[in-house]
Amino acid sequence: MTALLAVASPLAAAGLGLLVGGRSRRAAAAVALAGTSVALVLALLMAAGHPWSDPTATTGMVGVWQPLHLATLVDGLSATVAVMVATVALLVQVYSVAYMRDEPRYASYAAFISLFTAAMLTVVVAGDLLMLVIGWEVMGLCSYLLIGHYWERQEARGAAVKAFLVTKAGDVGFILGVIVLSVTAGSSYVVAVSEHGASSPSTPVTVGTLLLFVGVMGKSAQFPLHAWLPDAMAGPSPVSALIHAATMVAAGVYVVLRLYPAFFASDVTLVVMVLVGSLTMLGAALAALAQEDLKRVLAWSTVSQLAYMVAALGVGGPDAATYHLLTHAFFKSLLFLGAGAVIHAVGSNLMRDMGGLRRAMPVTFWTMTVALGSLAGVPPLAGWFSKESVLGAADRAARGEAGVAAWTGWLVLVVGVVTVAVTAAYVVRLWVRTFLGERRFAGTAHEAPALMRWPLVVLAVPAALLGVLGVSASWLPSWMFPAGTVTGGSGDPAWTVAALRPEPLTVALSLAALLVGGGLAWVAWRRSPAADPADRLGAARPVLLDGFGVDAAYHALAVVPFGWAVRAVRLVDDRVVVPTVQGAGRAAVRAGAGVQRLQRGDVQQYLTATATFVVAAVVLVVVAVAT
Amino acid sequence: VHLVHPLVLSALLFGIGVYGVLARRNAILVLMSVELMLNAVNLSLVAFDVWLQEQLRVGQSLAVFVITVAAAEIGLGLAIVLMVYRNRGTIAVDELTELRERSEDAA
Repeated sequence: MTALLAVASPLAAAGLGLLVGGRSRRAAAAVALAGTSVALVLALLMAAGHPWSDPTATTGMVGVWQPLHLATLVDGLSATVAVMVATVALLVQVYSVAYMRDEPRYASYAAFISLFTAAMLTVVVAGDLLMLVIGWEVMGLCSYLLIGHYWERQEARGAAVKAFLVTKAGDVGFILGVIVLSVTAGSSYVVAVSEHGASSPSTPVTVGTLLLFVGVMGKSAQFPLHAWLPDAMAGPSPVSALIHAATMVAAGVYVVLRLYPAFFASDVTLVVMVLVGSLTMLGAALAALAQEDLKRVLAWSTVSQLAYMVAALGVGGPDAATYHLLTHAFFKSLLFLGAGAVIHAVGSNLMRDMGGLRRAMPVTFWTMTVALGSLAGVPPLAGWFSKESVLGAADRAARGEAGVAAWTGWLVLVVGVVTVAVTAAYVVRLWVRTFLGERRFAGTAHEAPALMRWPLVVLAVPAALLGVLGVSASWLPSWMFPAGTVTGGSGDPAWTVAALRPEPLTVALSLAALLVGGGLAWVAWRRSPAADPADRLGAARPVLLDGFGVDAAYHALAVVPFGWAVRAVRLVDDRVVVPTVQGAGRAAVRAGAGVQRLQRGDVQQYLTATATFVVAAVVLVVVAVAT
Repeated sequence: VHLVHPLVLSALLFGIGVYGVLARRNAILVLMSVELMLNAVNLSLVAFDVWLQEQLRVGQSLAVFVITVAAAEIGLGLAIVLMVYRNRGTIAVDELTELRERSEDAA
């Protein structure tokens, strides 16, 4: 019940905000903040009240009508993620009050964020796959609306449509996957689908999980459905922080976590997840290295970090994926909010217009430094712990201890360590280009207003310290997974939850990679502080800047054939449909003109006709009666 | 007299009336043909009245009604014909086609 209320309060705030927000900005802000705060309190209650010891009692179901049950699944995992979602949403709402100060469409903006929060919480607490699909689709809608917030700009409109179409392409797979899994399991309850998938692996389960993963690829921006996320940066920065860093893109990973036993039972799906994750991880990190737009660096970095989670899922490390999901949500939303503050101050998205902001914006500088360190994996920040746990899971898989193919573990381990180096390089580049060196912009930059500063400071705390909470298995890990397993129910020992305790081997590897990658970028910058370290990429830079030409491939493989189809449809329309419709109209007019000739105004003719018909009718009736 | 004689006469009168209404061009003659039809009906009404020997004499009463209606009708009809003649200078029925359907392509 708490869970449903937690969904209902931002939903109500969204409706109310749209109603009253048009009249008063202050009312719109108050409604949005109140709704999100109530959701946060309820999420905390949910987390405090969930029955730790008895995982079987964690499912509450409220029957609404026959095909759809508002079933909620409140356990440690969903409560933790719900708290994270509500926290980030509240901070983003607070930040937006200042960030969107001069924005005429603030009311609808705040209402859409509230609606998004409700949808995301629906996905998090859903105990029924159909309910989850509803939240999933509403999130997609809100993402579309908010990316297109500045709809006066062609770029924003295009990005919104692109995001909508690409994620919808994935959602087709997602819905088919939900149908296949539900039909196979005979129930659409999350727990039933998980347990059925785990207890009786079959081809339909494999097909269903693969289809579901297509949807996850769309929402969580994994290759080849990742192309929308970098463009989605056309939306306002707080939207990027909430939707395109912390919550919606992580929802894909979260859905896999919810149904992990079914995914784990299917070797093919695991291998696909590892391949997609590894490819995306490294490719997106390389693309991030070459970007000039501050937010696009962060967007590509998000794609890369999500790929870590997907890869962790693929090598049998759902706990690692969960840790990374949580820490990433905090440090990446902090980075986007910080980027928003920087862009606000400088008036440009491009890093060549920044530089030297360290002195002008100390709070933004220090909080973003913490988050960047967390992203790069500097010990002992939160991101370091969670990334080590991903690499640790890969290491266990490589040693054959995780119940998945050993080569997938090796692949994730190698690609993961290389990606750490690339991540460190783009993090250092972003840091020095934005905050250090000479200032390259005209005018004066000021620190952001208090309403924008405080969310940064609050987010910096979990971005720095969340990992420490996981050092002992009895703290955060057992809090999220009370039964000691990821699924809560009849746990498989393969995913017994480990503490966030990095292993020496992976620590040594990733620290070496961190120093090499970060060091190269640092040295490149020290040699010529005025130049962009990415210039040293040479001929590779345009390719990386372009994201390996995936957009061009989409253009050739999807947009152009679609153009042909459109032309074919137009041809059919012009040659077949239009003549048919117009012909029908003309035929009716001609027939009318023919009938019209009868009406010549000669009354005697009418009478003659009438009399003739009457006589004929009478004769017919008489003849019929007589015979 | 046998019933069939007045009925045959009535049918003949009615037929002549119908022919007059449908075929005559002069509005006055059309009205006269209408009168012929009405009186044909009167004749058959009276004939049936005699044949049926009814207590209430429905046939005769109805004939009186018809005569009244016919008188009113001919009065109105002649007034209309007079107005038409004054306005248009003709009472030829087939020339009075003001109310015909006109259209662009059938013109």
